[in-house]
Amino acid sequence: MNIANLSFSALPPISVPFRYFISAAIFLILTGFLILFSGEAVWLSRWHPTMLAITHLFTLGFISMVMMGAIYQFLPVIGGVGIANVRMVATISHALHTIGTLALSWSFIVPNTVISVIAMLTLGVGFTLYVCAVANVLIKKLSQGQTIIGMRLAMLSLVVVVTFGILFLAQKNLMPIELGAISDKNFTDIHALLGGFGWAGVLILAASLQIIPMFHVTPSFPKLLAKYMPAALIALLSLLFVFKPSSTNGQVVITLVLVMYSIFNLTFLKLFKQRKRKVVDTSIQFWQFAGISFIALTCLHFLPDTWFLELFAGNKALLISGMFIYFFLVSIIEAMLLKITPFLTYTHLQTLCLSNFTAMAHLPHMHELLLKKHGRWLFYLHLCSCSTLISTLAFTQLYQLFALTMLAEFSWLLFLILRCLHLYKQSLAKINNCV
Amino acid sequence: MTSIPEFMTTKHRECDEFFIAAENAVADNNWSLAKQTFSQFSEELELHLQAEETILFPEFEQATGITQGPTQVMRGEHQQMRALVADLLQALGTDDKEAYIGASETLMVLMQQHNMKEEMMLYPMTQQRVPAPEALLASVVEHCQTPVSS
Repeated sequence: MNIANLSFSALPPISVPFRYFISAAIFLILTGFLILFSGEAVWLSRWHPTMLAITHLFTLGFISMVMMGAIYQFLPVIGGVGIANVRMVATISHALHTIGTLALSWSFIVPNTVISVIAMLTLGVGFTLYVCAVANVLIKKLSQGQTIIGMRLAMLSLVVVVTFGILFLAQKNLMPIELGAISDKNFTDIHALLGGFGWAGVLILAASLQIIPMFHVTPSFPKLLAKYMPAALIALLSLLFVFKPSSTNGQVVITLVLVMYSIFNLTFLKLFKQRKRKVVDTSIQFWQFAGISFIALTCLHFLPDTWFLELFAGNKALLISGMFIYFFLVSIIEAMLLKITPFLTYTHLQTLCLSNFTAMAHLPHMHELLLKKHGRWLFYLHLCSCSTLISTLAFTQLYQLFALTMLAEFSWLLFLILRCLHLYKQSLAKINNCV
Repeated sequence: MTSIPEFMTTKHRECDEFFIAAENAVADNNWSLAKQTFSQFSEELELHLQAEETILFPEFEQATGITQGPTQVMRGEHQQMRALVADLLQALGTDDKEAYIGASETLMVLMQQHNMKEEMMLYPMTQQRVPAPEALLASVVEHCQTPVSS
């Protein structure tokens, strides 16, 4: 273990994670408006250009945005080392990520070479800068916990996912570059599967190995699961380069990935059941909802395609991917935001009070920074938007209802984050006056 | 033979147990039980913090030559925890459930991320770097078994 770089105090400025969290909520508000005005046809296929834009607004604009912001905060805690030049890295990569996500979504809806090239360059440079900055920390000999190993594997998946994305854009816009097999739809599926189950899934798994037992005071995850599951998942996903996702063997691989994630979900559901704290915690309800949803989507995966003909117009892939993104990933990210947002605000303020304890009188607690009832309302809004999403997937004419419930949910999330930031600024002024 | 990381991690879990018992009692409005278990928690916590500040951290600092790094941050966080313990005590004194739960949630998250840094990095490093880890462990164990001195 190398201690030369160890710095537990490497807490990034509060503006670093918060800019990502605020942008993420705004991106889903934009997505809500896009859905509201895009019509019913969008819901007929996952390959519809507007549906591709919506998918990327979710994956890049919300899921990756929050996870990237949280990593700045998480690394010093679990690895003891923060990202070098964090303010500069965050400012540039966040700006490029935001422009790139908007440009990419725009280019799906209104194909335009200039916009596509802008998307390609901004996302390419933004991700490269971010990945290099994080990798520079992860390659150091940090603590040897399973979480760090899982994070390394998740970052590796991100590199592959982004590389594929850039190649797809290059092929579409910089003709006559011949990329051969990459134009195969199977590679688009690998891009999506590695993004969802490699980058997002393994990162959540790796983080939860630490977060769930510690912050929710449950027993630890079984050692076998913690040690082998992240690597086994990445190994399985890598097999998709050998067995195409559309082939029989590829389908077996996908099924195994779903089964392994179901085991992970069942395990954390069991851990929450063994939790000793009696205080009701909305973030646990989000986790439980995500876990049950994942098991449900795995069961749906096992149903024959014909079953979906009547109820979901045969659109099994759209239903399962929609549930994976909205019911599973978004739920877990909201669970984490409910914990991270007030804690970050609190810890930044409290650090300022260390030199002057009289200032602690102006320090709000976590429940004042994010009221418990406000967190509960977010959960109810999420349940509401999840039910309208399922209804829309079954009866596409209900899409506006989904858009409206989504707008309500993510406007509320934005309000909660901004309220926290407002209280931070208010308390900061009082603490500074004390000093 | 138990190692420093094993012993200290066990102590963290023991503190958690008392902390949860107190919080659960408050959740049930059982204030007499809450006061009793909270007193066990605060005593156990103070012994643990003192063992680190007076025995473990100085040994780490001497063995590594690092005095302004991780141990300084840990000492700062100990002060933050003590401030929250004082808030909890005040809430207990007035049977203020809302104030107690708000402060206990904050202390819980602060304590857990603090423990994570110690368990994953500081304790294993101390075990590796100090010249006589067994003797150090024996001093820590002895301290944790003596009554709190403030």
